[in-house]
Amino acid sequence: MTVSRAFWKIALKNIGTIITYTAILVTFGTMNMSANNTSLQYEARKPAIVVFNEDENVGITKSFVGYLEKNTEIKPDYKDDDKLKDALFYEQVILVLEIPKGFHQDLTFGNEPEIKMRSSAGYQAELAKVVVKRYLTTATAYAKLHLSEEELAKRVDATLANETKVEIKSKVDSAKYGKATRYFSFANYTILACVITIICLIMISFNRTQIRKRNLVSSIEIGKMNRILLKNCCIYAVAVWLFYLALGFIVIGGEIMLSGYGLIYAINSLLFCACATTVAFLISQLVANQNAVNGLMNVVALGSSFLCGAFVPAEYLPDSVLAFAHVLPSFYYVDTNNRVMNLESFDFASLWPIILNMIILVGFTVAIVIVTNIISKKRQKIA
Amino acid sequence: MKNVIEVKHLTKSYKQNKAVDDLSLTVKEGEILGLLGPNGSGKTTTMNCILALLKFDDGKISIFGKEMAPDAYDIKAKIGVVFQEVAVFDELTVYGNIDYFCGLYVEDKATRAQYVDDALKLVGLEDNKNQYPKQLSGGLLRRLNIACGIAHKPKLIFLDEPTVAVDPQSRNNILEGIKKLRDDGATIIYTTHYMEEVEILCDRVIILDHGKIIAEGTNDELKALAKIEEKVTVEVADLSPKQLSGFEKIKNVDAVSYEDGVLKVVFGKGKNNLAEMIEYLKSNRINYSRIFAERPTLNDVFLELTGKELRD
Amino acid sequence: MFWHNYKYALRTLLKSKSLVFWTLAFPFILAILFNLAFARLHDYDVFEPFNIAVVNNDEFEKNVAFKTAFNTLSDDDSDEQLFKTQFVDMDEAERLLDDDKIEGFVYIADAQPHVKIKTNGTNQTVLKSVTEQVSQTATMVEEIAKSEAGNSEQPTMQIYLNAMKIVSEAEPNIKEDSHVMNMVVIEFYTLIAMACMQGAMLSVELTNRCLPNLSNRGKRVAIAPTRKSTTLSSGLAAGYTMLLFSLCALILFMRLVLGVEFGGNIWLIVLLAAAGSLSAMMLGMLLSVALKTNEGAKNIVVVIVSMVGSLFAGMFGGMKIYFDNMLPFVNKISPVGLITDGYYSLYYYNDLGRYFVNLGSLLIISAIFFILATRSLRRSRYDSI
Repeated sequence: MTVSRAFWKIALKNIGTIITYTAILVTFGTMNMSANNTSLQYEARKPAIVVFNEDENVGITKSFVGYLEKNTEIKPDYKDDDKLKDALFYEQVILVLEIPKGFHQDLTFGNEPEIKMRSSAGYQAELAKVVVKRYLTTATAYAKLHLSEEELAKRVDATLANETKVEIKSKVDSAKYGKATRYFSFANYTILACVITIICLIMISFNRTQIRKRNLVSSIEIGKMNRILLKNCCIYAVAVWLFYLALGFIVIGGEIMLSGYGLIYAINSLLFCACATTVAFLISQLVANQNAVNGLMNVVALGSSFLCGAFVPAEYLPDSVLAFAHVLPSFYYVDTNNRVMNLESFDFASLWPIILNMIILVGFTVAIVIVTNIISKKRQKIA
Repeated sequence: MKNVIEVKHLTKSYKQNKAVDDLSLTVKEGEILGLLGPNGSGKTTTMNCILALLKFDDGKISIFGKEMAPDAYDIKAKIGVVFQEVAVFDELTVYGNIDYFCGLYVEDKATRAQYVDDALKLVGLEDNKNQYPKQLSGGLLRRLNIACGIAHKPKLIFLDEPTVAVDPQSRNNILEGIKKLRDDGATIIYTTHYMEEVEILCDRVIILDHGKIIAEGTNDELKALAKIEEKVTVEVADLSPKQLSGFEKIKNVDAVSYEDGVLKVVFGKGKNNLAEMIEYLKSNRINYSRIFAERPTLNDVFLELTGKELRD
Repeated sequence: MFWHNYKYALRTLLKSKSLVFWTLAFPFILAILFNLAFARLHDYDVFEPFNIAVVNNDEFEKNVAFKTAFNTLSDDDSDEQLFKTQFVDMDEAERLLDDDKIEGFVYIADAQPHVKIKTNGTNQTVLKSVTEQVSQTATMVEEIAKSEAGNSEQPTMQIYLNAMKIVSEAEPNIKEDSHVMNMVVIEFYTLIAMACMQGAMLSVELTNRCLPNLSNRGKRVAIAPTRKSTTLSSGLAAGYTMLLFSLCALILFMRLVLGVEFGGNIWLIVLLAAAGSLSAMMLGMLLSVALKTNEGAKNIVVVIVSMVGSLFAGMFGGMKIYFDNMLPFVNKISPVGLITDGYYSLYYYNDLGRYFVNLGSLLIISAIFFILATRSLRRSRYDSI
């Protein structure tokens, strides 16, 4: 009991650090979630464009603008050109179009009016360009028939109205769970950082040579001592987990959190917390000062988050990186989160990959405990 | 002899608490002045005020005849300080540390190399000069701390409890070193709460309590204040009250106490007190196992002046 | 005296494992991680063909337009290959989709193409868009051919060929104003900015060393016959040297090894890093003298300032523009924001105006931090130490 009491007394002494760290990380986690994060979000949606229309809104121009309204999200004019440039860079606006004066007549008479276009980089922009070019190509081709402007607009509209039907097979709305998956995947960093920093802080106090000597000569056996410490570390980790889960209710909403999906997210993050605890325990056995812990913590937490797809979706990572990531527990944690997002039913076949991931995660946890115990036994004699 | 330091009416308080209270002192050239007092008596605060590290409420401080100020660099150049806490760089070797701190005073490289070697020799760290502070034992670390403070051969040296928590061997080495510095011409202010050190080391002693000087003088002058010439201790198995009261009648006896078979007799003056005591015991047929006489200590002085022990 | 202190300050900094880790090693580790994580994003204009299936039922076999179009788009040898296509029957296509072997499949029913997918995504959008285009082009050819032939007659082969020619030659007059841009570079720019911010940590340490109320070594320095300004400035100069060295190495590493693009010439890039790290060092000095807490607490403040600054400046997922719109002043006064924006404008803007505004702002805030710090330093005796 003395050991446990000492543990929590040290924790209480460092309550300032604990609160600061948790607050920073949680803020980051939630901000990352709530900000309209364009770079790391790949759902298909209508491209945002800005149109500077110098022409009268009649005839073929009207038809063109109508088409754009239907197929894109037209943003209001930007007064400040630098703001527009920035928006293009950050893909808040994908495409900027300038429709010149007299466009509708020039197009009708086959004069091929010049359309000025600026775009951001990447897929989104390429897709948006396809959308715009399609209208212009169609209109240019029909203009060769020397039709009246009204007739031309009618023909173009009719042709482009012929859209391809898309059937979505999955009943799951992955966008709905996308947010939850991002939240829990980001937790890979948050949980590792919170758990490692604080547990190491406390464990290092216990492991300081002078105190360790005293512990070693006392009648309590080393294995038992470690078990008590580990138990208290687990209590702390569970507290972190509960806190993160509670925050999840606020950020993601009860509907998802209380469903079967929410249950999988919760179990998965609990298992990961356990694994993080053992990692923290292992680090505290290897490293003797807080500075080194902070360094190692950042390398472990940021490294695994980047390599395992917690920050950038796994499908955008190079294969070699993903292949390497398989040796890290975070990979299985993040992979489960990604699978939940696309989970269609709760039958065994669909759940099996998730269960397998969880088993692997538990395997990592057990393996790290064993390694820690071996190291701890070896270090029983002060070197 | 010139006065190296003159402090007049120094007063310094921390909030309500008066740390130094209207304190005046002088330090003469070439002497080792001991500042003796229990923890919290204002020794370190006085020292920090003299060094212009701390603001003080009132008073005047001059060193080498000039007023001390934070930018009195010509004065500072002649001062060396050894602080109570070990203040060295963990990233530098023993040699590197001494060279660095000496370099803040001495620009010339050749001179400095000589000074650093002298300092290493003085504190007996020649064999450890390439080690890092982490590799040194507590006593050796203290010696390094001293070497860092005095390597630039200052004329005036402040030592603030340099022997706290030091093993006897290092302590002797340190005390020898300090004597040598004095013999080389430095003036030394030595702060401590170990009265034994003051007794063997200091030419003159100032006793502080609650920020005030309660006594000042040489060892002998101070001991005279204790109004004790000699204490005689006798181990006697058995004493009747009547026998006990008999002791008080011996010549020069001021006080008698008897507890757990130990009889203590305090003589206020006189020369042959021990002989008289033995004579008395013999003539009264009192059996004793051991008898010895002691001179009074500064602790007795402190006890006499404040009614409490120095060591508390 | 200056050089003596400079030399020893540099030596102690380089010997301090934790400072070396944070200023020299950590930014490199992050740069490598960024590079691994954003490797694909890095060349995101390179389109990679993806797996689809086409149901080769009778209708497909009869529909010349679709057959030709999908054969061309699936040709391995063509530069215009979009798809890696399997031509299979309906059941097989469904099965492939279920097993996530393909992104989606196309089948033709009632003379209309249909696209079936599992979830929405970029590739699915491409598939839909291409299918639609094929279908609409076919309609267009049909319409034009009909018009050319007059309404009564069935168009001849020749008329069809003409119509196809008209459609394929119809090229709208689009003038594209193309500009290099790659959002991922911002991550690397914030990383440089964060590396500059390590200067704050260095200068907290260096300032603490000189101040008697902050460290015992500071007491030693305070009683030495050396001006505080000399010891402090030489110490800070040593920290600055170390930081600039590591920043130059980091920038070169990013440019030459990782291939991160920077606009402008190398001197402007280094100049911005120099100004940025100067502001960080001044900030550290100010925090060190102004905050009445221990070193650990000061370092936490430094960490918070640089982390929150990095977040606002766009690290951790490019949220710069989001914050620029929400709290525009933050990136105008935070060193991290200014450094990042400076690199951004050097990369993306043609004129240097915005770059120099950022550079100037950095120098101005450095000066403000410096003045505030020296003002509280002037009081060189202390109430308590």
